[in-house]
Amino acid sequence: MGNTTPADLKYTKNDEWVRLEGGTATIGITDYAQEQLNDIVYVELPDVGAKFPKGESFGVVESVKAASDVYTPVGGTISAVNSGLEDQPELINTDPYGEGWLVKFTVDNADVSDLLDADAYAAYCESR
Amino acid sequence: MNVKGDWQADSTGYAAQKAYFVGMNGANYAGPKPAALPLFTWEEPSPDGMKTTTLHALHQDMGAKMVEFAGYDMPVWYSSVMEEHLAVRNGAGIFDVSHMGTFDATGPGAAAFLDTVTTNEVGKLAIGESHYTYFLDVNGIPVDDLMIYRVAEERFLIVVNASNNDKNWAWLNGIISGEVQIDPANPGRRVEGVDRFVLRDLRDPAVGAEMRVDIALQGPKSTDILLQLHGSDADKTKVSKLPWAGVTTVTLGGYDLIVSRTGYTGERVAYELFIHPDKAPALFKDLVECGAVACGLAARDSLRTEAGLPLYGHELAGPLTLNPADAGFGSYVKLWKPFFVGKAAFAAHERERDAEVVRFRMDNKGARPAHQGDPMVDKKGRVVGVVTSCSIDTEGYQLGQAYVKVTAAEEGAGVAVFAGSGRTKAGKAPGELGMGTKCQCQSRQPF
Repeated sequence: MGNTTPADLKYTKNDEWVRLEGGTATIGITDYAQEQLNDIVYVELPDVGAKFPKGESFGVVESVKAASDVYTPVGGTISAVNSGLEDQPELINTDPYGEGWLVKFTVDNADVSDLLDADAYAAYCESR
Repeated sequence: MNVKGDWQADSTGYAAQKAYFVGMNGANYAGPKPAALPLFTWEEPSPDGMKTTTLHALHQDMGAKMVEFAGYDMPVWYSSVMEEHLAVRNGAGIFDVSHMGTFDATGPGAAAFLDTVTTNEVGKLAIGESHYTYFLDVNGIPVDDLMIYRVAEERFLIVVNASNNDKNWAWLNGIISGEVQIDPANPGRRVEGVDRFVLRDLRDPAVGAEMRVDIALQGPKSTDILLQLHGSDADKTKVSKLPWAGVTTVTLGGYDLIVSRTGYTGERVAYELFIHPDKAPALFKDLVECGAVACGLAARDSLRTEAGLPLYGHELAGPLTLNPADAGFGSYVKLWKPFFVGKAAFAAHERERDAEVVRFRMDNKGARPAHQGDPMVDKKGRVVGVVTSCSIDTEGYQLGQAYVKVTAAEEGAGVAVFAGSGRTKAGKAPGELGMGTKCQCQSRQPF
């Protein structure tokens, strides 16, 4: 697979990525996920202030192929949502780790040691 | 026969014992009648492994994303659905549609048979012409929608949906062998002249060199691309002069082709190329090298949706059991024909029909996509319709079709789709709302 998996991020087997900076986690879906979904046409995101326990679905990404729930790899409170996706959901396709981020959480617990690192996630994608 | 019968003797207004009804019995006929034939039934056989077209390896080499469709492992896209969609609108796209069914009916009785089992007027087709038409069942519901091409005086090419191929084959052969009912008013009726034509499956290896499968080349640059293949001036002229819905036979690029100017994308410059399945991968590859963009099933669906063309299972038959008139294609059903299978039921439904398929477009980008079965509501919140298809159009807006009450089907009327209804957690599932039900929805989409 020619997908990128930046080394500074953590990953889940549900194909979300997390960038942890201090107490804030930025979350999106991976390059592998966007390629599998193909053209993304709609994103439903929660309101700022909403709380989600770890593992809960916080939004929906819908492509020409299917609607998929997105699960948070960390528990916490939504501190920001990417409003740019409302008009340009395709940013997830073009820049999944940058402009295509979904939400930011103020995390309850900054421990992400249970998540996959880039090598483990790349190997996981390779195996599918 | 008593030809001097008094037509005023009974109250029917005609002399029932006279031969007004060619091929049929009058109302007072009391002679022997053939036993009623059983109704056609069809159950999809359980799939015995995934089928592939002869282009399967080529698709994989080209990096296509493959999915199961109608029992075949088919390309759903190669790169991006939107790029493929735009390639057809602005350039040319090529589609493997060799999973579609191809039959031919040959012989002096072929036209009469097809006129009995389809809704359009086969007898009106000149050699080199084609038309869109339907097989209806005795209830007036489509068995399938299809194209018929008159390739010679007594030879017709028939192209049907992949998903209905086996059902169509069973249906037609059941009629030919006189094993299924075709006329509820005369349930023992059989078609006549079945010994005057032969129906063949052109994807059956038994037909040998005459096997044909469909490859579609669609979009404004299709002619230029097709004519890059080498061929005689006469053959190239046949292609460049081919009128809309025309069909001809040529040799191009060394391939024996039946070429028609037809398609399922809404493009007027559009071809379907019928070729031997063993040669299809090479033709596909050649046309990609000439500049055609390989397109998958997803773009095929978004293009046909944008063009307002019906899809079996969505705008035809399907959960709403829609007939051609429901779908907005009633003009392809010629009620002046004396008889065709499903005519009486179709006409009865037409007298009561109060809804039709219309097209809609959402007025904001990034709107939640609508899906088949989503309710459509008017400004007062009343359910006035049901979504049958939805996709993304060339400009990036959600565009679809819905079966809507004729009272609400006014051009420019504002309606809202209760999209995402399949994911609703509480209350009555919106998909269960009937037409006219008041929908207590809080749509996030403005009218």
